[in-house]
Amino acid sequence: MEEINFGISEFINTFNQTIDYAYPKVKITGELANFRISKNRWVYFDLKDEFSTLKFFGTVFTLPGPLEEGMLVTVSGQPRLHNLYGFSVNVINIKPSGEGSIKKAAQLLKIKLEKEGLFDESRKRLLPYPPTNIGLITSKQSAAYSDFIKIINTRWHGTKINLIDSQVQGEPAEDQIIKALEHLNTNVQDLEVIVIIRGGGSPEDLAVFNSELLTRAIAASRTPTLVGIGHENDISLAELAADKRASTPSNAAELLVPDKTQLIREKSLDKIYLKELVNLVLLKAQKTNEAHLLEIDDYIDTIIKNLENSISINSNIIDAYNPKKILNRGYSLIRGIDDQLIKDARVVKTRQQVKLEFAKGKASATINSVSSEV
Amino acid sequence: MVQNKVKNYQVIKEGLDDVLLKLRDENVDVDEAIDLYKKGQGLIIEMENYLKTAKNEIKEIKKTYKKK
Repeated sequence: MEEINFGISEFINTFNQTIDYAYPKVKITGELANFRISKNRWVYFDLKDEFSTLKFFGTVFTLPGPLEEGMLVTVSGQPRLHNLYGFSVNVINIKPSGEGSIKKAAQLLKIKLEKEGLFDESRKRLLPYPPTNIGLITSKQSAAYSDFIKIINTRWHGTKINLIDSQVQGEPAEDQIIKALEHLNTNVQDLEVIVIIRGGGSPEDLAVFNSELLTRAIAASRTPTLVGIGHENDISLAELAADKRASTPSNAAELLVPDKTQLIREKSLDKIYLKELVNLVLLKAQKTNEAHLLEIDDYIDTIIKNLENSISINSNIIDAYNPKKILNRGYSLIRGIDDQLIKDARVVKTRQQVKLEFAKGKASATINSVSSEV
Repeated sequence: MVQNKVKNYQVIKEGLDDVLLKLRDENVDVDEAIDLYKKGQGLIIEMENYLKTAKNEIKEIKKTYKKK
């Protein structure tokens, strides 16, 4: 094979062209090492395995969230030979790889977002119940979609569903779901809730629901959100950021709308409860009436006692004014023959007959002499 | 019925008050005082009878309510 003589820059250009042709984009998995961020913008790190180390370069915008040395990550990027800094892979995106790293990355991101208040209960909004206009983001081919639709239609037929068919795993999922959120929030009128669902899967399959960008997009959604991922353990960050979380897609449908059949049955029960309640109220009213009667009884008794006291006092007063009582003290009444009271000596004459009235008994007398002096 | 009785009691009581007012007058003579006294006693008896009737009526009403 003929040797080609290159100038430095010429070689670098030729090399980059060649590698761009052969491997325009590569995906490399390895253990993260020498990770550093410069000027809050540039990211430098190495990926290594047992025998080799490879340099990577990118921007902070490509990071999936906080990363730690030792984590297993998969990096998509373009291999490049730099004219000053040598060979590296220009990062397009980084994803944690392997269950341990995915969990670790999610934990680190969770701590970061928690500090920002993204998962605060105070941010949670109530979902309308039942909503009439739902935005749904999921894969139309998935069992999650068919389960969700079936349950919604069985429980509460007539709900309008605006489906955005989206991938819910793999590389394009993050971008597609975020765009679907934007579309529903911007272009669909009178939307009451946005639902994001998918069935269960491996940590890698569900990794998109721990992505920082998607988590932030859900938290920022103008329309209230419900996220239902088909797993019970390890709640994803997307679920934490949503206004409400469902344990499965079916559960999401159950949370959204009531069961009409159940509702009718409950209403019948309500009638029974209502009847019992009315009886209770009547019983209470009856008791209240009894209490009122006792109160009236007491009131009447008091009035009667007061009247009796009043009569007794007035009777004593009247007795005190009994004119004849004064006669007991030795006074007597003197009357003329015509029974008129004689109050003045000047009206009587000598030898006039008068009647005397004592406390006990009466008598007649003759006036012997008269003196008008007082 | 009850209203009439209340009115009657009030009339009796007003009559008694009038009697007492006149009895308090120093110029009332013994004969008039005796008449007032007699009238007052009569009114007291009327009031006592009224109260007795009212108490019996209340007793009857209570019996009726307790039956219900």
